Amino acid sequence: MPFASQAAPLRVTVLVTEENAVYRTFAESFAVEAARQNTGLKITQASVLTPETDFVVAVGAKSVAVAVNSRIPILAVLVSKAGFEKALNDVAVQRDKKTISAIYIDQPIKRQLSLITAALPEVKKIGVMFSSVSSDLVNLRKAVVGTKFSLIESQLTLGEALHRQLSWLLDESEVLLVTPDAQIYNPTTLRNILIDSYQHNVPMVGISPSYVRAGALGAVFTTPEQFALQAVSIARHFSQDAHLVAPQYPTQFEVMFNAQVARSMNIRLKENSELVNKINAIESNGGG
Amino acid sequence: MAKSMSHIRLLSQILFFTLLVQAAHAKENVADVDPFFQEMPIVLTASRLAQPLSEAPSPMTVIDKNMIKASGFRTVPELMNLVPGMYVGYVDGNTPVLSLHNSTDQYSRQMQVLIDGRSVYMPPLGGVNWSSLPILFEDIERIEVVRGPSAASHGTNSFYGVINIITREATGGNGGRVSVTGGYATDASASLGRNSEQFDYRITAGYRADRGYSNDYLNDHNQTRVANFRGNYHPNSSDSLDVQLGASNGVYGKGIMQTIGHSLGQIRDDNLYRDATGSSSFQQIAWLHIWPTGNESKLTYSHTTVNTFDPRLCTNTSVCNPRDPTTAYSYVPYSVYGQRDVLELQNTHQLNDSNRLVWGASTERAYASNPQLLISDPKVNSWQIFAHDEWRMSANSILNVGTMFEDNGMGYQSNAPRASFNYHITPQHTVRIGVTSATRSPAMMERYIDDRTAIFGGGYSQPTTPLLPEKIISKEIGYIGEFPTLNMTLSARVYIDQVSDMILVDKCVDGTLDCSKDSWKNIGYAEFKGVETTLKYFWDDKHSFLTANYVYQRATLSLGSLPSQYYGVLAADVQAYYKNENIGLFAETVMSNSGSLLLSQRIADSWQLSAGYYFRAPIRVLDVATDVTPEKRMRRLDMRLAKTFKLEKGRSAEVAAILQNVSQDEYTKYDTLNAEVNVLFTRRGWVTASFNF
Repeated sequence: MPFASQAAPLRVTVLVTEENAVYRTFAESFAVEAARQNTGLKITQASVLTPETDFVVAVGAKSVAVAVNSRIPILAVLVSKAGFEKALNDVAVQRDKKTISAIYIDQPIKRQLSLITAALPEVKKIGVMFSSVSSDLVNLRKAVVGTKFSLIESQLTLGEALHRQLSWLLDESEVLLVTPDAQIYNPTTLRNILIDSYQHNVPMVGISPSYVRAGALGAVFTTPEQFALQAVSIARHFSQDAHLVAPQYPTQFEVMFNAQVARSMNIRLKENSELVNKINAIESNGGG
Repeated sequence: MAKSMSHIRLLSQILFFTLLVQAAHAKENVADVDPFFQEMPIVLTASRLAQPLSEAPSPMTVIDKNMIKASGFRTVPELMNLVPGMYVGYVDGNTPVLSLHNSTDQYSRQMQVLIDGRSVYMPPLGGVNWSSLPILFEDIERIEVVRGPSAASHGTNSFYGVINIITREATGGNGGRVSVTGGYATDASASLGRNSEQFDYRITAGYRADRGYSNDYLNDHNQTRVANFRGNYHPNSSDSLDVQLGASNGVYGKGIMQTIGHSLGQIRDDNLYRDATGSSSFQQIAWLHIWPTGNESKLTYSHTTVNTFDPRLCTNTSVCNPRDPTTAYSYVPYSVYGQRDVLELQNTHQLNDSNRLVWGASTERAYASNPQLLISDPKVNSWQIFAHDEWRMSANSILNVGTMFEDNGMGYQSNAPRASFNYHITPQHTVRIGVTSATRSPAMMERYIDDRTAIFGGGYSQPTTPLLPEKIISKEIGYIGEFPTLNMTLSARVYIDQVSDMILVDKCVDGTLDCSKDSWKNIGYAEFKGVETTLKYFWDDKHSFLTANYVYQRATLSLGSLPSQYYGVLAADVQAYYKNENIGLFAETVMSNSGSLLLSQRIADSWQLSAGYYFRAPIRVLDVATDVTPEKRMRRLDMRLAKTFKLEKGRSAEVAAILQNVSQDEYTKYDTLNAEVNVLFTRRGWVTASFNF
């Protein structure tokens, strides 16, 4: 691709307002990748937003909240779909949709279902716990329509008997799919949830490598480096034709499995690469 | 009055405030956390993850909660009916006899019995006091039974097998359970648990009682009270402290009615009706540390005590006569106390992707006080070092090797190595070949018995040569077939277990013509051979299941070495004793055929109907004279019908009706009386109601 045809290179601010290893890795990878692709972008990393910039890559929910009140075009990264939509609604003055976009941190539901299909081909009943009906849950419900899957739902509110509800849910489900709900899944509750589900012989599909280390069977996730790649592509696009693509899910992903848990639960896993290929195949066929 | 009222108000205020703070604290933490970045603690650590059955080194039977429920059983010994090859008999309602090979006495000397890794096999008689077991049946999560030696994994005395009772952890969540039973048995229990960020606990208290054999001839009613506490303190993601406390206390009837002769209908003089008491307590604390690599170290300390008291034991059966005050001396209050302290360190290392190593050491102090039976109060200090490696040689093959080295504190050191190889011919078909060894140290009674003791009619004396540990080598070939699309697993096994230096009665050891004393000596050699098979089948989304077992066993005994009395003055009598009683009858002391079938069917979502069928061929007990007839064959059917009520907020209630020996199969009990009058296991029933909140 030729150099940007603008007179001056696009000034991109990578806004990181919270100190965090993941954000740091993303920011570094973004800069490295932009340079490697000869994008000609002028990148600065900042923790405070100054007006002398043309494009903001807002890293994390806090950065998005800061940037959203300015007039500068924004690409929000490492923020959940629900979090992003909330930030859009909270803004004082409504922005033109064309000037704000995002790469969600959540994986598309279909990809998670493909992971279950690829790793646990026999499974049909997916158990989910949630504290309130969210757009995530609505999407999940829509996604299973017409597939072999059925959702077993359990709504919990804080203070209620998690263990009892979980017991019932585990009796009926063949896999427990983690929803990004901190009220339900946090370091305190995860102990009980994992121990219970293991005792019921129900594997857990998590949302990050941390879950897999804890004892979930596996997870599909996107690394900061992969997010950076996608963000560079979007920024470069914008620098060339001043067009900001619509908010999207991450395109690249990895899978991680806990081999000891799989063996203990008698689950025979294929190689990671084979599973990634399988998921890609399902996605490209528009199925799953 | 006013003072106590304000006390209560103060307490309730403190409680309310604590809960409020807890709730606020919890909410605060939760709101800050981003689910995608939250660092989670390692929960399913190497020691928590059980090996799948097809990769386990030993033949193991797992009795899980569903099987426990469906069986309708309410005590641990009864649950052993579900283990292939296990003999479950009763001397009386309070005294079960369990054995994986030849039926022995009620002391289960050749099996290790553990509760959460803590041995409940107590020093003085080398046995387990089942009726005063200080746990509540409702707190049992599952029971794992290893049907062969397993010293390298389960410690000393894992000779014929291991029964490992695993209780529910404290992480049960906020809530509780109440249950009551009425009918043949009267039970009640209540349990309450709480979870918070750093501390989980559960308190349970209960009572169990039943009428025993409920028979005219036996006084074997029993009542036991139990209380348990379990708490887990986990201040951070790498350390946790688990504390368990328990105590039990009970009353156990003893005594037999006269069954023959002119005293028919009167209580036997040598076994008067009386109430004995028993109690047991334990304290266990375990510190688990998870290293950054994911490896674990666990340090455990436990203290267990067992106490029994029999107010009127007849020590001289030829003399005891309650109507003659001059023989009062022959009824003695018989008190037994046993205590054990254990300190153990166990490390679990995932060396690399293909090797999991468990190794550690433990030291144990056992103490017994049994003045009527043992010389002074023996103390035995022993120590053990163990190691076990699971090596995944390839994707299809696993080699398990391990050993336990022990100094038994009675002058001997022994080694119990084992090796087994599991090979997945295909992912569904696995073959296992194993060779395992173990040793059994003599029980305190066998070694420290007092020559002057009046118990057992004064008939025993100290061993003439120090007793060696018994040795067993078990060789087996097993097959496991897993068919997930059919929801079925099938396993089978062929084995030969060879026992050498078996401790047998050293007959007429004093060599005199009246043969007044016996002792013990390592003179036996026994072989046990068998074929076992188990089938498990699930349907209705695994809400219904069938488990079926069948075992064929054979046993032989010979004298490995001959005692000197064999050729002495009493040669004829001694030889006749060994030939006709020990050796001659040995083959009859195993169940040649036995098995069980447990079926559980869910009906209309909230009903569960189950049936258990248990059968075994006639069997003779070794410890009684030739004139006692063998037990009759057993073919028993138990049934259970339960209805579950799902209430709001995850609460539930269940009502179940159980009927044991539905068809009133007439099989006799273990031990005496059978020649005179058949003591049968009568049909009995009860109803249990429980409420989970």
